[in-house]
Amino acid sequence: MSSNIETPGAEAAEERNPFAIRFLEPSQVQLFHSAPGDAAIRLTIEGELSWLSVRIARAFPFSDPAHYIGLRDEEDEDIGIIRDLKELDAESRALAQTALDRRYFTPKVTKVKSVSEKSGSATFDVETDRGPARFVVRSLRDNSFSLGYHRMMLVDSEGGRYEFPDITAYGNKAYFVLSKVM
Amino acid sequence: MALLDDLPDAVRATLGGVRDGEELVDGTLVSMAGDIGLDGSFGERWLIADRRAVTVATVAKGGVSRDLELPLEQIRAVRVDTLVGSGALLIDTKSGGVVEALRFSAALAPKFGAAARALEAIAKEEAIPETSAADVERKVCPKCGDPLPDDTNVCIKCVDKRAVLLRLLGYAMPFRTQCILIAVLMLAGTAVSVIPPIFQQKLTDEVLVPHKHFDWIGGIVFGLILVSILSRALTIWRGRLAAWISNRMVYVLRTQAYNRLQELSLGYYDKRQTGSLLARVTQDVNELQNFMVDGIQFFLVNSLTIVGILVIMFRYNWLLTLLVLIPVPITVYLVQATWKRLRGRLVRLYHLRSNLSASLTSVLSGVRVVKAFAQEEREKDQFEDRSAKLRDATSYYDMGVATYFPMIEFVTTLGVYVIWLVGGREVFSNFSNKPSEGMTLGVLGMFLSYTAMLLGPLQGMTRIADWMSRSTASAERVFEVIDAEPDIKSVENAVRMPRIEGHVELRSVRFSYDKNQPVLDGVSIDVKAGEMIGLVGHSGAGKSTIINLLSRFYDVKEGAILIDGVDIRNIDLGDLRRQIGVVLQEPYLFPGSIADNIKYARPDAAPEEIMQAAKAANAHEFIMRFPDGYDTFVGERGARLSGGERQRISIARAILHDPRILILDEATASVDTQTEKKIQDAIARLVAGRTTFAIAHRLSTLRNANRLMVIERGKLAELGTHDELLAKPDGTFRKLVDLQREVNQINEL
Repeated sequence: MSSNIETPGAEAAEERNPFAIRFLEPSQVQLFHSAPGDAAIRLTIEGELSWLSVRIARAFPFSDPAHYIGLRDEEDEDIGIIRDLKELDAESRALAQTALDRRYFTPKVTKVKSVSEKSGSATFDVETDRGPARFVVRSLRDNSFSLGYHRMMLVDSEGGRYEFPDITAYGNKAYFVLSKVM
Repeated sequence: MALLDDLPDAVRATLGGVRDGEELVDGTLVSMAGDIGLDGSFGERWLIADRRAVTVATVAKGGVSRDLELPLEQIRAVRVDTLVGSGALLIDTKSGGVVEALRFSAALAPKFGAAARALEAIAKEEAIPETSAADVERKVCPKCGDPLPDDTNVCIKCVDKRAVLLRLLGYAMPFRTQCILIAVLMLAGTAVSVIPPIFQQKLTDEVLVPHKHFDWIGGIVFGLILVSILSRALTIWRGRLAAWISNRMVYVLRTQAYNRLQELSLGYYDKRQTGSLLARVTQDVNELQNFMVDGIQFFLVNSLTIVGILVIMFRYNWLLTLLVLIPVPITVYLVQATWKRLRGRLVRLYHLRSNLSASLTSVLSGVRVVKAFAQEEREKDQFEDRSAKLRDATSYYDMGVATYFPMIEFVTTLGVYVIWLVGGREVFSNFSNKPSEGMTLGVLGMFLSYTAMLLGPLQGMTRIADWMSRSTASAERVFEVIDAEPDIKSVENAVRMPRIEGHVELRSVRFSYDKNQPVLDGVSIDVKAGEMIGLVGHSGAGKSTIINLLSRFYDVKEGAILIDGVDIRNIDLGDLRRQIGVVLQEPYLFPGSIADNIKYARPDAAPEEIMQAAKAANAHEFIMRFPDGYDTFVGERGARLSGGERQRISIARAILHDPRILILDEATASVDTQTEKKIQDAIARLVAGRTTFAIAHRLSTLRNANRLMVIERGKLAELGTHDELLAKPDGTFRKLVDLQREVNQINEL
């Protein structure tokens, strides 16, 4: 029950199975801003239709961030999936990449300056790829998510997310605290 | 005001200056600090609004720069774009563009949500909506400044600086007298237990070696037996008393932890695994029990024994005593070093163990799904995998213990060799064998006995460290539960409402389970007492959330819910819950009889009342058909009853509970049409005279509702009677009904 935009290309769209994922043909996809400084991202699927504002989201933000990028309309309904960002033209790709960086604010921890733990909650003072941060994770065990071998994400007490790409890289103390909830 | 952060001077300076003859800062209506910079890294940016424009200023190393200035008359709407782990404040301009003002981390989302609404109001020249500091400000610990989560006021770092152990001992306070008695018994017991070697020394030096006083032998042996009996008697008395006290202490602790779990709101449970909570109330408390029953006594008795023996040894031969003690500091050091190594292994072991039991719980609860998808093999593999990890961690730990402790033991026993070497030579050169002229054979024997008596307690003291660390860890986990503050509780001077009329009002209610995802976004409705409201919408639209808020399982983030004109947060929680009844889609039946389950909310209900309720719920007929009638036992999740039967029992439960406000959550979703009719009839009787909120996917079942609320993405999309909404050709409800009709037709084919 999406509020579809009426377009001349709608007939073609009707032939598609509405219950199948639509994988977009990269050569037909164009992402751009209508005007410099405008935050909205426009999408044109060549020969079909154009959306004034779309959202861009990863289908597998942890396990496969570079592939399966979803384009969604203003109502957050699915338009289709791009299999690989690399297949887009340079301008669209850069724009999509910026939008993804904006959407996923998960600083990657590069250095643990100090960590202290008490009763299963931990306070971290860290350097990240997005600058220094200090955060508290309550009930560490319930707010840690294993993203793979030695890789994990912590969600702090205020909903902030922090990724530790390799928990062995931050020294003994941090490894001790992180590994036991892995 | 909540919307005004203190502007730093540097930012103020860039804003300073006069524009159109008016100083900007004086008219500041909103000034808020964001924490994400222009480049997407952490950084300071300011959102400032006055009566003319919205300004954004960036604080960077080079100074402050103003990078956005948008006159108010260009603003059409202001909204927050919820991103993952952050958010953005977006401004829709009248020319059709969208401008991103600034971004902020998830922690600031409530604050900028309020800012967005305020900015829009300012742009539209409306009154700025009220926001209280508590709604938007980050909660921080007043002591250390660390952020606090919504659900608690307890800062783990700052809470209770006293040692956990001391706090644990505090549980002994009610048993002061008994504790003093225990201490006396311990002292007496220790004194008695160190006597025998003195007797032995007398026997050797004054009877055996000089071949004198033959008749003393019987007396000394009799004395030894007496001492031994006395010592055992004291130990038994002390042990029984200690068991009595410590079990009472643990009982208090366990009850406190469990009571707190009952008081804690659903929000606490959302973020935690049942298995790990279970482990705290059972395993951890057991651990503490062991420690308090045996550990503390063990520790004190050993310390006293060590001190007692050393005092006697010093009196006989201080030099030899000192020599015997040389290995002790080495032992202590070794033990500490060892535990430093083993502690990590132990903690990991604990986590793996509770992981295993948590996964066991979840798989066993979901056993139907496992079987239905034939995933037994995979679950076996996964369990094997976890079990193997636990096996490896445990054997790693056990092997460590098995390796280090014999080594430590060896160091501890070095004293024995010192006695033989040094004491033996002294005895050899003391020809008279008189204590006054040096070491005697008797004293040598006594020293050997005492050293042997020291070994046990000394080695025990090395284990006490492990015992203590394990127990403190357990105590910390138990205390964490006890210290958790329920976020939903009656306020002081809560309004008592013995009888609720049922007038319910939602005023721009906003709610989110976590900060990233607003679930309800400004829902308002005024429901008259006795009215039946149907809640309609896609799954995930926010229907169940409204119900959770009405039951006050959670509190609204902004806005208010009023019952009979009183804010739900100010109503006595007991009064509120007593008068709200819930019938769920999958009713939970406790293990017990059908009668027990019906009278769950009113345990004192008479048998006739139970039957009346069951009759009204269309349940009496089938209950009487069971061989055991109302005494029929329903097992875990009432597995022996059909869905419709369980549903009717839960309706009977609600009827007996006699609530003023009734909540029906998909009460007829999982039953066949015939049963549905019976349940519908039962519900119709239940609904009469009560304010009712009903969620139903089968829209036809809501025909009896006075009004329907159509919820879409957390907003009230439509409101009206069944017929009114059906008459709207493009309405959401109309579409839903049409869709359902189509689906039904397909089903009928």
